[in-house]
Amino acid sequence: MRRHGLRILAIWLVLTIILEFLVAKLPVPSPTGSDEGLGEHQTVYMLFYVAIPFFTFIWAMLLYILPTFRARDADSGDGPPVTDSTPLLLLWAGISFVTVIFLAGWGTFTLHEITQPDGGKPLHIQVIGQQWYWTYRYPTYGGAESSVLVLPVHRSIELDVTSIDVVHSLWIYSLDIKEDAVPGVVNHAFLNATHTARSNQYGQNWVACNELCGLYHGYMRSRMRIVSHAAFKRWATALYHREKANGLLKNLPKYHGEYFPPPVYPPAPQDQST
Amino acid sequence: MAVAAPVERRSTLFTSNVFTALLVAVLGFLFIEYVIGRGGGPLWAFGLSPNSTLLLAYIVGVLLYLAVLGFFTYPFKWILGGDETQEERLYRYGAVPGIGKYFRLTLDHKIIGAQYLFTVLLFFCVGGFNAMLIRLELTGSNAHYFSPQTYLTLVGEHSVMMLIMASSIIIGPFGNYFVPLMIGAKRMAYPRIEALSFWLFLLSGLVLLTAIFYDGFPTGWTGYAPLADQAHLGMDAYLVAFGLAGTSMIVSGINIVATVLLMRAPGVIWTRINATTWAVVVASILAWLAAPILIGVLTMVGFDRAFETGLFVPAWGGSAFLYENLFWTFGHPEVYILAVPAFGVVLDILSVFSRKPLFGYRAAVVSMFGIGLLSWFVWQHHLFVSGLTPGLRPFFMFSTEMISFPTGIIFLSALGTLFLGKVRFTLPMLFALAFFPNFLLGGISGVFLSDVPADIQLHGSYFVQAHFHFVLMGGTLFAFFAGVYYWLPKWTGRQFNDLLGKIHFWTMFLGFNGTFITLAVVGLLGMPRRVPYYPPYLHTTNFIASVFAFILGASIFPFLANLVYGIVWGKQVNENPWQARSLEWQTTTPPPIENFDEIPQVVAGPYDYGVVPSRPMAILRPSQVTAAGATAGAE
Ligand SMILES: [Cu+2]
Repeated sequence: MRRHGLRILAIWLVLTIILEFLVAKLPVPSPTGSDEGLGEHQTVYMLFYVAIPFFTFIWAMLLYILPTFRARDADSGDGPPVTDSTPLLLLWAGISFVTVIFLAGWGTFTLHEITQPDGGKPLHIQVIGQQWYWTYRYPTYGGAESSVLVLPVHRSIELDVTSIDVVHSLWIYSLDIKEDAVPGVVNHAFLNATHTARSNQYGQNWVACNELCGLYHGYMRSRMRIVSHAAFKRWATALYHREKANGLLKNLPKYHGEYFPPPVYPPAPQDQST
Repeated sequence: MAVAAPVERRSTLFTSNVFTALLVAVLGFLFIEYVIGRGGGPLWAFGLSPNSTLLLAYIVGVLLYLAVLGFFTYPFKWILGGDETQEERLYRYGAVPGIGKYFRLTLDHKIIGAQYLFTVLLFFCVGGFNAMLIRLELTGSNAHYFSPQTYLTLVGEHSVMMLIMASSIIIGPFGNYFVPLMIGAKRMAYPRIEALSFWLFLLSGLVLLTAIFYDGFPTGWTGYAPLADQAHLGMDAYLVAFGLAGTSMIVSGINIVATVLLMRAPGVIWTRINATTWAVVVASILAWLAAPILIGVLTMVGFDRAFETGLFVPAWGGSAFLYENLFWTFGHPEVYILAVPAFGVVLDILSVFSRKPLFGYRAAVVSMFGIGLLSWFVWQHHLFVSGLTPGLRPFFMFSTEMISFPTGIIFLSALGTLFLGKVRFTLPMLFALAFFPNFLLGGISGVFLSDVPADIQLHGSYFVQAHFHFVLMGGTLFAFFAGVYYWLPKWTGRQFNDLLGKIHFWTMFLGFNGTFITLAVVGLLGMPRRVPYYPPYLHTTNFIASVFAFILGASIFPFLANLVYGIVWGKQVNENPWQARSLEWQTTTPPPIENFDEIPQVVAGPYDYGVVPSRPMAILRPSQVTAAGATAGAE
């Protein structure tokens, strides 16, 4: 009994050390384009470090038990009638409970960190999902609207995400940002980009839709650019002046934090007359 | 058998079976939909929308199908003061020769179990074929084979078909066939209700397929409103199909819970019920309680579509977020309706083939109930980024992580059973053992997803897709195949081919893990679910996943070959080829119409392997023992 235990322990230790080492060395795909992304990145690694001992324990047990306790061909007898082991059950329950508390505590703390605007008044950008494209409005620039997401680097930003038809979900993979765009609801995501970037031809650094929203859901992607503060100001001011000059701003609905979605079905004729 | 003669007479004019029932149902459906419904018919003139006539046509079709099968015959006869004759009873319970009884309404739980098994396999093949087409599309980064609409229909058909199928994959064939045998009952508590659960299940899958004729549905299995409100007519097929499946789950749940509560043989105390039965009971309670929420929410979407009630349309004062919440209040218990029966099957098989009692039996059973209870408090983890009060997110993170606690106990129970045992690597044992590595990955990826900061990145990505395939396919489906190889010799009296079974196992195991480990990486690299297009940098990983998926798909062929072999030509075996203790193995093979010649007197537990002195689990002919005892006392 003790002999078996020690051997399993040895296999478990070896497996654990190898896998922990591998995870520390191998790049787990988890982008770090924003401060929030860093927090999530650390969480993913922490989850790997915590999960591996459990993973290797089950494997160590299987790898040891299956060859060791394999029934010999002629053996048709039964094993010993062991039914319970209260200390073992208690130990197992205790370890899993402590792990759960630790994970929940860590998660709560990180969540608090990444869902707060960090320092100063954030720059608001409204993100509007509709079938099947994204629109970005900049309230500080007169509600000017763009189909490309342009962000200043190293600046606290709040994305106010909503939809005007069905449920979409904003996913900026490289910035670790995901927020559902639910009609009638405004969801907030905070971010602070750590370096400049732009969408490339291989499909990296794009904004995608992450909730099935109908026919062209898979194609609901938009380009984005993370630029220096000065470049952002230049771009946004130019956008504002262009849209003012060509009359777009006048025709757009006045900027409002909440978009009320138009009806799914056309209104009945008598509604139009009033 | 003597009762065959009257049966021959009554079936000359009109045979009521699945084919006639479907034929009449389709004719009724077509009449409502195309003759008096659409395109200027009376219903059209009456002002009913296309959605409402289609829903009406489906409802009429369902009622006709049930009527032709004969569901209303006995109740009406009974209400009007009549009763069944003995001949009719024997016919209804399948006490007649021939295979016709497998194709009509039969009330014997063993025949219903067989009907379920083949229907489950049919649905699995259809859903699996859809999955192959999806992976075919995803071998390249842009749409090559299907239009986006066809692609979404494939996604929807695959997911709903598999969900409907998996809800019954263990409860249906094995729960129905073996629960009465395991608890020493002659029959189920409510045979008619049990039969209803099967026939609704069959119909739900067929109705789902009719969505193809109405341009499919674009929503996947979640059916999120308001996307569902603007979808084509195929969406109504989804509503009806899922509603029928939900009804089937409710009635099946009621029947199984009642059977285990009321029909146990003398001596079957709570601790002499095996893990499979307990697991099926937990899943049945969950089904009974959760499916009504599903049916309610589907009805509301149906009203939205047919009568423009706007319950989930924000512009009309409805709420899309409400739909998500209602759906997942059902959706999360549903996951455990699929997963928990697998725990029971795996634990039982491990105990038999380790020749040891189930380790920590009481803790394992209580854990299953604990999982069932916890499953009601975690639904928000599907909606962490959808707009819940942020302050509640830590609670749902904690409750979700708590699920790993009872699940861990079940792992401990399984490992403790193997430890010091005399492990025999039979076919069922291989599939039961594969449960560990597969479900382990499912559980660990689940902990990643329960953690809100990690979930923000992983939510809705292929990582989630890999996660629930590890749980449902790696867990439930492997347990199902373990069950087929374990229990079918009891139905057929024949053994499967070992080599074919091993080819099936290894191709399935490698194909499965190759596919979904790769897809988990695809998710970590940033690919959303349900897209026919993905950016070029994801091409290599997707291609690898598709290759593995085709291997996985091919693994069904050795299984089907083995199934035919095992039923027709397999080596004949006695009634207890595995030397198992559990009660279902003690009766003759195949079990007689009332399962046991006499209600057995159960005197020991199902797991007393290695106990000295060893006692049989039950006295199979208690009347002879009592008679012998009485004689002995008189002398
Ligand atoms: Cu979208």
